[in-house]
Amino acid sequence: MPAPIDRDIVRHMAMLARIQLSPAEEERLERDLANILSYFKELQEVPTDTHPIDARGESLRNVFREDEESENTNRQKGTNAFPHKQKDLLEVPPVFE
Amino acid sequence: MTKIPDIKTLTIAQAHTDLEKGAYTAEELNAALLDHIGKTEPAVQAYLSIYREEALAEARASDERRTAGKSLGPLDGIPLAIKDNILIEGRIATGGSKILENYVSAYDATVISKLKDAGAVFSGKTNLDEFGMGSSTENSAYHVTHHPLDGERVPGGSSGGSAAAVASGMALGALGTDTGGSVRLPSSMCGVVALKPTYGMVSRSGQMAMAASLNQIGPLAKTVEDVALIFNTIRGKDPLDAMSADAPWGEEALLNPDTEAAKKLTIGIPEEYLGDGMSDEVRTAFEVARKRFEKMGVTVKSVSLPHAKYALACYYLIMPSEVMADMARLDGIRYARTSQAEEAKRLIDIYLTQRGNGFGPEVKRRIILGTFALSSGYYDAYYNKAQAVRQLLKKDFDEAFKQVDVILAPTTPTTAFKIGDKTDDPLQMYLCDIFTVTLNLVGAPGLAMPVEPFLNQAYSKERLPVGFQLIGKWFHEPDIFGLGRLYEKTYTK
Repeated sequence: MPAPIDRDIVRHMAMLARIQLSPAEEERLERDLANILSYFKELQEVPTDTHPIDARGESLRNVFREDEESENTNRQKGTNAFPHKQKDLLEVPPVFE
Repeated sequence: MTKIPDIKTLTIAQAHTDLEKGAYTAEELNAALLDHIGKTEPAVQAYLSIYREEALAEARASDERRTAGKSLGPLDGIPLAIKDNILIEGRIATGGSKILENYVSAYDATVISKLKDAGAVFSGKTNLDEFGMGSSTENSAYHVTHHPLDGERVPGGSSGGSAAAVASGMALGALGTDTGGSVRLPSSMCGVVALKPTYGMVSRSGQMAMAASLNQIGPLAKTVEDVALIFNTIRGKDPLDAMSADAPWGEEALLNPDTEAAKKLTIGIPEEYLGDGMSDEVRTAFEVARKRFEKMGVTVKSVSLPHAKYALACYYLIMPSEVMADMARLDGIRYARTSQAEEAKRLIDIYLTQRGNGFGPEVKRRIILGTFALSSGYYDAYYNKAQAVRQLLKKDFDEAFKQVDVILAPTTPTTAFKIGDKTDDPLQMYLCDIFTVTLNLVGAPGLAMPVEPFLNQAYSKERLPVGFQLIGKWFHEPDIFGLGRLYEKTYTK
């Protein structure tokens, strides 16, 4: 089981996860992740081929709420928690430059 | 104030009896508790916020109800502490993170609504590892909580503030959350009782999600009886949490379990748990607990959980994968924002700076690990493999529960360790969870309790608490409460 962790992978994962890391944090994470991933190697010795893998688990049934119209009374409280707004619209910087 | 018994050993059940008799008022009780917090908190630092005025006002309202003959039940007027990743409307909820430093909750968590309906008083919000990620409460962005018996040691985590508050008498009971052992581990290290309910027994609406397939809210208190009182109040199906469910039993089975019937249950001890994974003092204490159950006439035998040794690796892949998804909502857009992120010119810069500055090292580590485990090329080898092993673990429990009614296991591999001992080595910290994560992976309930009941006051700086857990079948909480009450009744001096 390859666990190839290098600085570029750490940077790539951090960008995918939208987290800015300092060079010191990148170095620390590279070391920690290599260490932690090596611990996961023991999972590879478990035979799971005989068992159908379903990441959703077994014995599950779906749960639906009643399809009824209802008024969301929490809207104002939600928008109040927002850092910036214009009237009842939420304000953010542009997505593109 | 002399009417109030020693608050450090006062139970919820006793306080309720006293309040009903009129021995003291809820206001006097809460004032005494706040006074005790004033003396104890500087050394323990269990709280992130303390609600002095609010608590006294809630207590006065409770007294008025009681005088009018409209008492709301056993929790009316009782001071409880709430882990700071559970929302109370209008109050700050940080989750132990800088990223939510200024976040004021817009609504009550379902468990809070239920506690309010039961008349409970909130003494404050307790410290935690950031969003519940840790085993020592050292990962709080605010401060470290100290063990009530030895200030150089950790109280365990992540609900370390709740456990330390209960153990030091700064709350009569508390709520924590348990994703991989976070109520059981600190309760064990602090010598109090805690329950990780069956997955789905308690609504998570208003609890900050950390890993949705593993999270449960659980109560902590000094006795099994008190834990049952809180659990009975907060449990039940809630339309706001699709995974929640009602219990297939009535509250009597939980609150007044038949301890004679409990003696007829069969306990199994997983042979895989008795290897070299625990310290000598834990092994010795666990042996004491086993012998005590036998002495009470309970049949104790050996069972096997062949995949138990893979549980920790399995957990530390599945949990970060879910953490990565659950933490995505903290984007600096929808909730409070750090001042650095205010200067961002582009949307993506808000994300990067808010999350870069707002999250602590352990949260970042888990998000990056989860992102890696779910990434293209590694998904099958890591995440999917872990999910397959999780199902094998579930089958282990299915088999074991054909032979026994309840499983007895250690809760932690060691007693409370020194502050700073494990902070440089995340893997060593993760190993603290070796006996607790399994239950979250399979969804079964676990009642963690001290070998020497809290009320015996048998623990000290020289003799730190050791706990064990009673693991029940899914939705069979009355079994573990029956055995727990039997043990507590028999061995409380």
